[in-house]
Amino acid sequence: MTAAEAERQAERFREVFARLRAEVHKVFVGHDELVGHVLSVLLSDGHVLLEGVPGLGKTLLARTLASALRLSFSRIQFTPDLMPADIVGTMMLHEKEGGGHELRFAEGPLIANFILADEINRATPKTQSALLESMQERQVSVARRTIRLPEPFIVVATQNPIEQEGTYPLPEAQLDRFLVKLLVGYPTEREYHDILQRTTDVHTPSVEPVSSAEEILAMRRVVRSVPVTEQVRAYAIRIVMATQPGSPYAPAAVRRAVALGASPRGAQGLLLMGKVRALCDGRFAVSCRDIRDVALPVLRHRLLLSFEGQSERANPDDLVRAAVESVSELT
Amino acid sequence: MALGLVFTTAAAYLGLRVAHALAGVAVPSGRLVATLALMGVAFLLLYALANAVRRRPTWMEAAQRLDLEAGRHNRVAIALALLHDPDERPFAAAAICDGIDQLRRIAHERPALDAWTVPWRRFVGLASAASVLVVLGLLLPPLGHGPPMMHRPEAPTVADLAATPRPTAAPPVRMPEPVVAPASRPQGASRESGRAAGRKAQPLRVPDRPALAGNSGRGAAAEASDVDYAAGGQGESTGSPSESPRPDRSIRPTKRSPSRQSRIADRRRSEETQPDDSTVSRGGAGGGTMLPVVNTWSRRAETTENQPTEDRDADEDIEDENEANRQRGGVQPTLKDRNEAPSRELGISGDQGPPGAGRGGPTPPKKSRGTASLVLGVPVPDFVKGRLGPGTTKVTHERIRPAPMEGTPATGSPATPPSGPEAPAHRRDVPAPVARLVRDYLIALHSADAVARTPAGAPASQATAAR
Repeated sequence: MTAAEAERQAERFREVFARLRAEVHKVFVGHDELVGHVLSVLLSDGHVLLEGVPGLGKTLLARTLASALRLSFSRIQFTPDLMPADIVGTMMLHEKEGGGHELRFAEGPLIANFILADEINRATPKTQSALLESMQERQVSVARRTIRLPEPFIVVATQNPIEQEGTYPLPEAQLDRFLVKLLVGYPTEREYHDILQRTTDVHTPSVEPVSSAEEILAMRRVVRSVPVTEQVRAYAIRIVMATQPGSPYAPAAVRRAVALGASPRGAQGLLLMGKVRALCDGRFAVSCRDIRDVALPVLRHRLLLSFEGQSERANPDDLVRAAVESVSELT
Repeated sequence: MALGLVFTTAAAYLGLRVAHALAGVAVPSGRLVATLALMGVAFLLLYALANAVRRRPTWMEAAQRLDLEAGRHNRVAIALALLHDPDERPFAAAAICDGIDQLRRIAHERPALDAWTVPWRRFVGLASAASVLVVLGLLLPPLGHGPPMMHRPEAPTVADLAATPRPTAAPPVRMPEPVVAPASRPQGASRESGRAAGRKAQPLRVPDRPALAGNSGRGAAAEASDVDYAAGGQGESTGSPSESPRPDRSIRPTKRSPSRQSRIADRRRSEETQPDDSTVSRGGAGGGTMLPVVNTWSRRAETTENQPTEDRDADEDIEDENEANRQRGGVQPTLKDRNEAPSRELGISGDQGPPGAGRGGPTPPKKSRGTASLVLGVPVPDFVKGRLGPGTTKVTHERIRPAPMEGTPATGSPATPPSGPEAPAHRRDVPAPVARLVRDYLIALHSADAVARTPAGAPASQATAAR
């Protein structure tokens, strides 16, 4: 494969990406950067955590994206009484045709390509933990049975930051498995007009599937083949280390307000998201600017605030920004 | 760097001067120090200049600087790095072509590299500090006179002492014989040497050795210690001490600031004279009444044993943690600061919890899980207070039927108003001005309360009316 073939693949990548984005925007108005991040996660083989107040379209975005892909889709409404077996599946007693009974495995909704975990923080940590194995290893284990999950596999989870009564915040191990955490904000005034026009009119827009699982997997391979130079890799590593309070790269704000910094998964996420960003920008290698641009969504949920940070109401976004600013591009 | 060197040199110079003034440490002259410092600074400046001229940035450094200036997503540096990468990917080849295109595009642009700026603040700070140190050093006594221990005046000779007018009222005083002569040298030899020195009338020169183990100084002037130096003329060969000229105050050794070496030597001597293996000395062999004294070795052992175990354990824990971090390749996340795991209890709690905690506030106190909690409303005491025996007293309840008793009825009297003087508390003889003052004060006080209770923006009259 030559450079011309690489350029052709990159061009194809951009086309599919733009097509998906346009299809999502048929229903989901505005938040172009948010949609771009969600698609980047889809093509980076990661998972998304959407956080926002009610009514901003988090679930709509996930459903629309699932509709734009020819993938098996499962929606799991997380409730306090949901059990792990309700997600993963369980052994059920079936009556044989010739008489007698046997135990058969009844698959849960987790065994699908596209998982929408709605209001994920309303389930107990026991149920939330059922996602751990599936999100990281792409498999589920039930009794002595291990089931490989279909590829591509993506979990899009939503949660509400303000309704804390009766909710269970995600454990750190669960949070770390999300490639990005995206904050869904309010639309602009122009976007309000579009939203009202599309949702209160007789004709509601419909979404057609524009991509398939095979195409998604091919695009993921293209993403993986984007090179990363030593300079950019060192830059990403230093940014991740700058979020760790014991690191020599950590600024004073991080040392004071952070108890636990980002893990190596954070560095992986920076590079993968940076690769998608470089391809979408028409480049063939990741730059330091790409790393900077994706640092906030990739790292903001990986910081555990210390007592001082909580008492000072430190914002993880500010801490990530401080970490990024403290690291130089030059080697 | 050069400025830092100047500062260090100035600090060292000041330190030498202070050491010279306090402890008599020999230092070279100020001019020599200044010359050496200036030579060092000049050498370093020349070295830095030559290094800066000789050193050239690498291609990669130049490419990174160019990218940083151009702001084109590190295209040039990426192309340069991928050019030397043995892993030839198609995307790498495309990135190299992209970088070359970028270079052609910016070939005619002159990059505005960062201009070197003088760190004025640091420069001024260091220069000021160096100046202060040098001035402080110059304010000390000049070096030309020499330190007290290095330039001692020559001891007077016998001829000089003879020429000195002797006070008439002061008879010659003979020093008494020392009762105990702990010196290793025989006392007779010391006396003989002193007499010989006196007969030869040689000048008594103070040895240059700064510290020698001195004895009583009787005739052994040559072996006098620092402390005994002032009494160096008290030997038999030099006559009475009153006849000796008073030595210079500056050369008199002071007990307040003995040198470090002498203090260490004294401490070692005192430790060596005490038995090492005994912890308590019982005083004299004749059954003296001295209290037992714990020597320093036993105290040291006691100190080590009485050290708090918790402190030592904490230190060991910290060392273990540091060692573990070192072995794991760096500083690991500190899990000590980790927050307490949030409660997973279901239920309605009263208070609003901290934002972001997500638990809905603190949970009620933990209930007991013992047997007593299973039997609702039945308190199960842990133990019963009481005596095992029946005791010596006994309370007997007797059941007796109530019976009427004979008695005289009480006689009533009509109620009459009190005829005595009014109680002092009920007097109303407060002067009118004082009463008016108190009334005004109370009115003002309550009006202030009303204003304080009034919501912001509402007039006080409304609050008063509402009240």
